Amino acid sequence: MTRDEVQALLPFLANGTLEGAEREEAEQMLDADPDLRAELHALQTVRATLRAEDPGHSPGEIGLARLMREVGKDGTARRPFWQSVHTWQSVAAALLVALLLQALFTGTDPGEDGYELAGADPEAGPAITVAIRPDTTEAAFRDLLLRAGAEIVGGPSALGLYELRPLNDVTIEEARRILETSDIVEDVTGSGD
Amino acid sequence: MDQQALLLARVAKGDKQALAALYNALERPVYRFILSRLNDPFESADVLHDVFIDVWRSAGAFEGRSKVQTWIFGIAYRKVIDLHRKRGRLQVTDDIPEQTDDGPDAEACLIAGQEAAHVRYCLDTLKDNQRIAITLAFYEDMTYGEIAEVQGVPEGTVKTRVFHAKKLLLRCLSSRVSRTVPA
Repeated sequence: MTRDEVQALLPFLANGTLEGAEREEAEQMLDADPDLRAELHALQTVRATLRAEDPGHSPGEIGLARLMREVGKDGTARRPFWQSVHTWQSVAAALLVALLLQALFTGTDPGEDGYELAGADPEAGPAITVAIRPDTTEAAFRDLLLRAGAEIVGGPSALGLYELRPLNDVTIEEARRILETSDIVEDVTGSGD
Repeated sequence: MDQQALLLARVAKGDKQALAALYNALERPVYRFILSRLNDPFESADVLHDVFIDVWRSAGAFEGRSKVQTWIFGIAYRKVIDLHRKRGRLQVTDDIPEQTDDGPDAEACLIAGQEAAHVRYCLDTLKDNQRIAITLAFYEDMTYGEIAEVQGVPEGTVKTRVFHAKKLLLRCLSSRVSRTVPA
């Protein structure tokens, strides 16, 4: 280690973070060099002076209250899937309005062939109702649906329940077995229960 | 996993109490660091706020390769740099001005080093990157590896910055005492 290299490490000797072989080498050179020792002493003094300086009042509790306020209204924050239900509801409402407007302008009855609201089709086969853990992410729920071979046909209800239906090549028993063993599902009930 | 890493993991799941705990643990040092760069308590409070909003929004992106404190100081560092850039106050180069290599008077450095006003004045004469490296080393007791993470540069660059910063700092302190002590 050269003298310049030791000089570059002096601030880290002064703050006590230099360790291992670097520290040993630096200390050996310091032992033999009174100028380096004087520099280290000066740096230790500068550090102590800086640390003793009062930075004044930090925002503290006021800053925390401001942060919590902003976080509370922050729509872009990372939030659990469950808490984004309002967004889903808004999208669903917008889609419904769009369908109604289309029906109005084309004179088509949404009940005719060509319109199919999955959740409103009582003849599409038995459904499964599930309660999902409140901290579930959208990704986890999506993964479960793919594994179970099921799709959402209704919900979330006011109680947060989802109505699922197995896809064409999956039986309700198969889907239900996978749903019941999932960590993110709190409760499963079938239409026949 | 240390306490702050556990808190950050909870923040990533939307836990506001964990965010508050992390804020309480790091608010003062992060604020002190920002204030040391901006010299404006109101502006510094705003930047501190923005830093923790970023923590809230991007906690899930923390990969655990560094300490949480280092990661958060990195966010603060980039915000300060952005602010300086917008105002055209940033000196981004590591160029070292040519100076005669007369060594500083060790005793004068020691005397001046005890006066906060002298230390503050001399720190302000350093380039941004040098000052930040010294500030993180002396205020926050960071290793050069941690400072490299905060500044997003190789460790060798930090050592070079610190080497020149220290030299300029001690020379400035030495001259401060020479000027104030009557001949």
